[in-house]
Amino acid sequence: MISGTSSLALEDNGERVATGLPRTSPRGLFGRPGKARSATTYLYLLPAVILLVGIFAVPLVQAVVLSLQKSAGLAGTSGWAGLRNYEDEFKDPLFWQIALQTVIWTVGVVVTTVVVALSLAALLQGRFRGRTVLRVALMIPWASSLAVSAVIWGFALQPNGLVDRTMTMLGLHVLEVPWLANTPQVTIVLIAVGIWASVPFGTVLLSAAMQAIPREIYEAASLESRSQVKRAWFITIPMLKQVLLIVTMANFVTVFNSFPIIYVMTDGGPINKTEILATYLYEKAFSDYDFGHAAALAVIVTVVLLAASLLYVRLLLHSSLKVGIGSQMARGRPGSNP
Amino acid sequence: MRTWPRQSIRYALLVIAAGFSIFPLLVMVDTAFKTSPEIAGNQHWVPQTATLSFWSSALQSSVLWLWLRNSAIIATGVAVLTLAVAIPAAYVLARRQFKGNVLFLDTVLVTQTIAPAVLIVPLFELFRRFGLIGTFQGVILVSSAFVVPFSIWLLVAFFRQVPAELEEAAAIDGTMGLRFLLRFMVPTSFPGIVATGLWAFMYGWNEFMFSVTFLSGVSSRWPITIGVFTNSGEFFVQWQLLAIDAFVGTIPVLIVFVILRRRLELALGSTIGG
Repeated sequence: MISGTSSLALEDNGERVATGLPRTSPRGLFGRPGKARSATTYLYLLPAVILLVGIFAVPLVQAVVLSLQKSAGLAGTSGWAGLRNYEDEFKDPLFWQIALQTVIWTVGVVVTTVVVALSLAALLQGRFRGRTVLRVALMIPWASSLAVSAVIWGFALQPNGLVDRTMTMLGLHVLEVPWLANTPQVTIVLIAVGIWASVPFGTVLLSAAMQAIPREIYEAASLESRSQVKRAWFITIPMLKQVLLIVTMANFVTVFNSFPIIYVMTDGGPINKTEILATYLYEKAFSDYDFGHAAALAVIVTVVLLAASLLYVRLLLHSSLKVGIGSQMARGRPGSNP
Repeated sequence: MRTWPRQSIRYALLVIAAGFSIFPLLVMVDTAFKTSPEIAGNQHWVPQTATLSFWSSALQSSVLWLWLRNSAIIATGVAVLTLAVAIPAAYVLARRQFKGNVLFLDTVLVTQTIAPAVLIVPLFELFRRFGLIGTFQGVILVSSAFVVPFSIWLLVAFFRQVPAELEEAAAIDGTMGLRFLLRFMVPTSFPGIVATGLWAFMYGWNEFMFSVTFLSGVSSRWPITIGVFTNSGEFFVQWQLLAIDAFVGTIPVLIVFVILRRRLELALGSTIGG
């Protein structure tokens, strides 16, 4: 049924593999120049293109259109508003408060996650008894549903709940506080759950990368310095620079976009104190039915992230596969973003 | 000589981290055996009077099985649709050089930076027009779109491992294109395809935002995530039942994850290391 595929341009890692079949394109870049053949190639891509355009591209364009319209509650929209929705947001102190909260949440989760994941990866190096059990236990948040886990975390954080009891057991009576009722502890608690959700991915990537560092480098270095700290600082960290960057970027995108943890545990409360832009725009749309402003917020979020992803794409040019895998694995913690 | 204290510090730190990691699981199991007065009062890790009664009522409740069934439908749907879409794309991306090959792979990655919350407002409008609100299909479509990019990348890596000679030999026999893909490529890369499918399954099982938005009006289609979440917001919450629901709802993905873990770690390790 597929014609003209007799001279597949087989290339692996840029290395030409002789197919033993006639080939007309000298560099094998486009396979055999022939319309029928490239048409069938694109046919294979078609289902993926349709799905991705339908779910990503079309809604994005629609978000822009929607953001330029006046909202009319449940009735939808009523005419053009120009840039009014954007102006409203930029003039709203609540928007800036939530933008700041988004930064605090994102930086808090990402920085701590990277530090913790790096430490855990280092602790997991080498062979020791119980390593596999510990590894599996450490990976569990990655496999868990964030929404369900957030429900359970919320329950455990209730007054006199199991978190309080754990604090008692550890002798930390000062930390038996109404966790979810007031700032700043509610912010800290959410960040902690965000870290809980994000660490496994970083740990897996970083420990894989650590294992890939050739042993000889350490052996050579140990002649010069016996200090483990020095070796970690001058060898391990520089060798991991690339992967650290990937872990940081991937986490940045996922955490910035995150939804379930905050939505389930506090729903942005108390009085918007834990709202971030993603949850805020969701509330605007589905609690206030203010689709115009919600769409404006959506466009703002996308632009901010696009700026970040430009950096992302730059990295990508150097190590295309790595970043992509990174971002999806971080989010793709099934159940998507934290 | 110095290894003993160092080893115990290592264990202490790892055990603390592992305890933090499995904390919600511990809470689920612990709560499931408690009596109601104990949950209302000062909670302790060791139940004063353990009871099994909530297990029998939870496991006999039809609603739990309905939620599990719905989760299974959604997760299987996501896995099937993802593979159906990603396998052909990954095949040509791995095996043929054509205009836009690299561009396609890069563009696909950029979709990963888009916030699901950004898409949900226009998608809700769009799906309402197509009658997809309140249906499994709607949730399956969106979830698949979010897993497809990574699945393509994974499958490309797996397909590239299939020796080119296989394709040459098959071509001489006249087996090419789609036939070759189905008869040779898929069986040869079967472990990789299973891993990708399981990954998509986990994603579908745990997906939350789109399900809660599109399905919350139709309680007969709630997956376990929405069931647990919605019940936790009731005025009176029977936490033991909820803990059991949460636990039972976590088991399937945990099993999948344990199967998948080595392969995922290897796949990640090789992409990072290479």
